[in-house]
Amino acid sequence: MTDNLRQLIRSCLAGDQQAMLDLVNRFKGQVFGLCYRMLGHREDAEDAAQEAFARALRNLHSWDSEREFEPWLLAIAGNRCRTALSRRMRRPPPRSLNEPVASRTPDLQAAKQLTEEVNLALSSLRDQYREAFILFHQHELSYAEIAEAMQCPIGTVRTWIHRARRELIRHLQAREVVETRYAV
Amino acid sequence: MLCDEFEARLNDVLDARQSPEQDLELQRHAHQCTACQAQLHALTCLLDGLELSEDPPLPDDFAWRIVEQACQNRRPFRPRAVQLAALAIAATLLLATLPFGWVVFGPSPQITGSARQIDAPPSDAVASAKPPETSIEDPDDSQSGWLVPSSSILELYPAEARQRHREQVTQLADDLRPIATPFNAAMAAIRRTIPQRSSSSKGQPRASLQPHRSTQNIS
Repeated sequence: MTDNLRQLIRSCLAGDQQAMLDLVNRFKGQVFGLCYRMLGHREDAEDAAQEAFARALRNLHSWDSEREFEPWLLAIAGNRCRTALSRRMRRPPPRSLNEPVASRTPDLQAAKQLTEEVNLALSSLRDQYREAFILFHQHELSYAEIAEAMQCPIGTVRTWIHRARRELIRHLQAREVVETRYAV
Repeated sequence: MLCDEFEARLNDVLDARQSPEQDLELQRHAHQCTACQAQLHALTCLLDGLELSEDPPLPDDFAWRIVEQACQNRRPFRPRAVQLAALAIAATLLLATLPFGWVVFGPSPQITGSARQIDAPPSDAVASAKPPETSIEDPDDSQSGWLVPSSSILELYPAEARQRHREQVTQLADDLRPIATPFNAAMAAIRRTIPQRSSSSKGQPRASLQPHRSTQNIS
């Protein structure tokens, strides 16, 4: 962890609001990204991310400075997402993830369709599989960091990620996404 | 390579954050096996989709709202040891005073049911305790219970009972005396667990990066 981040957190602990703003701005992409992929709903993800940051700021003194900050923060965000998902179980199912997606490829329609299919496949996974997969492939956390964030053994994380890959591949094949794109 | 080994190797390559397209063994098998080739293409598709997907933009005031919320709900840091010590003191004081409260306010063998009914004390005791000129007649006597006006208490508190209660309190104090030393030692031990704070940092948020897992949990 960089000294810059340590200094930023030290300032947050001293009550510096500008430092808190900087800290949130620095990690809001990662936290919101995880919440968005976990919940598949923009407003819910925004609420979960906000709640996760607020809790993290309130409990900064309990963070172990010997450890990485990002897994700790993402662990809080993951907990908030799981709470939101369990709360959602008692409500009617939300509409599917259909937010507009920007694309860097010339074929906007194909890119949009592909990301929607991937998001749909992700939403079909078990919560733990999805969280572990996203933390590994999108946030590029190591197995050890994911295990710490999800409070489970490394072997379990590895199993979850492998199963997530297999299920996602099967889901995409079943939806014929691969055939239309690659014409195997 | 067999098909069974293909998936395992694919996972190994991905776990090492390498590209499956650059792994010759995987490519060689994929060219020979249609099912594994489809699997590899699906995986490439998945990774492309992940890379292409972007999160919707957050509102401009997102960070500010969080800081505002965090600062509003910010409570002064109070170590759990202090809270536990306060609870321990309160519980000890309650337990220590409970017998006194029982002696003073608890049901006495002299007073049962209504506060005005005295259970057949010796006649000479009644004669000595009851002032002749005091009237304690009350039409709502039976409903008054323990809520007796204070001026009447002494009238209902015979000298013999008073003397016996005084002896009981004295006896209780003698009984509690051996407990006092270990109690003081326990209180000193609790005080030692409370972290000392300098006067300059009093009332300010803790600026230390040291972990305090033992004293504060993440809610």
